[in-house]
Amino acid sequence: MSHAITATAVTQDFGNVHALRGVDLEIAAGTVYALLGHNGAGKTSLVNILTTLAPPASGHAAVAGFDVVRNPKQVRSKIGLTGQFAAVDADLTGRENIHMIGRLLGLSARQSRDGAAELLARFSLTEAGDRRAGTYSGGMRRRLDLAASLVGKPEVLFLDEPTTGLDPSARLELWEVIEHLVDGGATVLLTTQYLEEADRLAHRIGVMNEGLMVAEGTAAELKSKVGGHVVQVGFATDSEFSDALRALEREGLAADFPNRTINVPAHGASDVAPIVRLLDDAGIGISGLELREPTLDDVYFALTSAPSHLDQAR
Amino acid sequence: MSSSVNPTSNKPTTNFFVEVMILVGRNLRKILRVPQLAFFSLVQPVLFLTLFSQVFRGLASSPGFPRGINYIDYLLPSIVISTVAQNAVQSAVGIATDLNTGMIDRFRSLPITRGSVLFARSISDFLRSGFQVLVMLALGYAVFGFRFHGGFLGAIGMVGLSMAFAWALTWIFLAFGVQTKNPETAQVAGFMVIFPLMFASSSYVPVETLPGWLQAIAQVNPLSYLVDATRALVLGWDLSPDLAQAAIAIAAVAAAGMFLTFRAWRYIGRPKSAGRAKRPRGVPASAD
Ligand SMILES: Nc1ncnc2c1ncn2[C@@H]1O[C@H](COP(=O)(O)OP(=O)(O)O)[C@@H](O)[C@H]1O
Ligand SMILES: [Mg+2]
Repeated sequence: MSHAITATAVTQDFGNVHALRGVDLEIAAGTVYALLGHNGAGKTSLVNILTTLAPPASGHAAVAGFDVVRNPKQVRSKIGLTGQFAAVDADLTGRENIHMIGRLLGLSARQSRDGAAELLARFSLTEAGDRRAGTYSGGMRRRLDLAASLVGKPEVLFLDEPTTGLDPSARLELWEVIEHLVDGGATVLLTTQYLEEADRLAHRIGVMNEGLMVAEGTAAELKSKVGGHVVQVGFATDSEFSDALRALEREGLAADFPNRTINVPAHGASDVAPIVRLLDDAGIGISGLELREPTLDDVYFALTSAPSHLDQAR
Repeated sequence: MSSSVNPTSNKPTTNFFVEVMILVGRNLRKILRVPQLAFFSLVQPVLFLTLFSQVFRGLASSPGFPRGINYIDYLLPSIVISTVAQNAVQSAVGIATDLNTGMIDRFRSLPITRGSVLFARSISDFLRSGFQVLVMLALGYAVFGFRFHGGFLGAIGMVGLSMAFAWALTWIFLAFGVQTKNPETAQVAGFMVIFPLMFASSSYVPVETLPGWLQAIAQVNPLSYLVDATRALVLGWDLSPDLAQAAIAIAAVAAAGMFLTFRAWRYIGRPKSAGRAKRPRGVPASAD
């Protein structure tokens, strides 16, 4: 068993901003790992360190067995990077973009040309391949960016928010492309703000918040952290909603509250009745009730919100 | 370590020379492909030569002007050096644009030699300057009656010095571009440096006629030395101090520029780089 990526106590500071505050990471070769976190969580800072673009303030990291600080060149020869902002040359054609990266990676002109043709076909860009990349749509540009990072057949691929800013259909297309990367056996580290994306694409997920890894595991493991189920109660009015919040809080039932609904972590159907009874006794009407599997949203909310958001709601 | 999942043992590698060639090709292709860039690269020398040669034509009738010399033979070297200097500002714009669009991050994530991106930029911009020098010489010959009086070697020397200076200057402006990381800022800053230097020099009037403080600037202004030397080469004058001084000026500009560029480059991506906004401790990350 080998790890394609390891990080130990990695920190990063920007002046007084502590972008990373001691991150540990182990990613098995041949797997897809998702770093999940809101804007500013530190995802890009970590990717920049792992791809040798920035040295860590402290800590160690290795990619494909090479230390990112001591052997950056070896690391670079093993990785592909699709950064947060599509880095394609708008004045070159799609084909030229891929070809240039291939040549810089040391492929012969022929290998690189063949590689470009193959990648353009694989990412449905053959027709647009001889147009300037500046004329591409956002989704096409991302696909081209991804294609360019694949021309060297990297062992480890970094995708920093590959679908941010894409419309739903372009996102779906990109998901399909990413799913097939793993078929080829590469190790993929992707970052995302989208829970469905992590759930759909990744074997393991690391949840980041304010420079720390706050939870880690498979989607199922993360879900189980909220208790296995969620009772979701909806309210018709704001006053009923806040009354209910207070009533539940008195009973020590932790709860989330997006859009006038309250999500109560639960262990199963047996937990529904007490909640309903409690609200009924307090004379609070409800407009909807559902027992459901927790989504990653629930996990994320539970892990990354301040310790007691009920306090803040008061 | 057996994490190889795409087993391509013996990965091919490139070398510095090949990388620079590839990247120069890319830069030149961009210049040729963007019509405005190609157009202005051609128009700029034509405009400069026409404008400056006509505006400063009266210089020939001023008392200090050397006798028996065609005004254009005296002025063309100045105009060439001015154009080359202005053009070097484009190096700042080019590298700052690449930094801004993320191209540099992409290049830095590749196993290529440190500095190949910078050398490529300096060479492609130097080639563009060389093209402009040739355009100006051809136009000068065809339209304005410009002639070399220093023989074949003088002509070669004049073109060679101008080009070497163009190359050296790109490094100063690469430093600007890497430092500012912003094409517009780099352009304005570069222009504000070059424009005064164009005139606080021996380019368009004899240095002795300048006010004292401008004379002081002109004395240390590399453009003065380049103008003196290329002018001497064109007119077939005695080269004894000028040529050596111009060579020293070129070497000094290149060395200073490279030093500043590589120093700024080292801090690319490094969080403690100067000029980054510092935030108060504990201010939470923006979440939008
Ligand atoms: N170059 C920089 N200068 C100053 N602060 C930065 C810089 N880059 C990132 N930060 C800060 O570091 C924190 C983490 O940012 P980042 O790693 O980009 O997060 P993410 O990619 O998860 O959105 C944020 O607070 C961000 O504002
Ligand atoms: Mg980011």
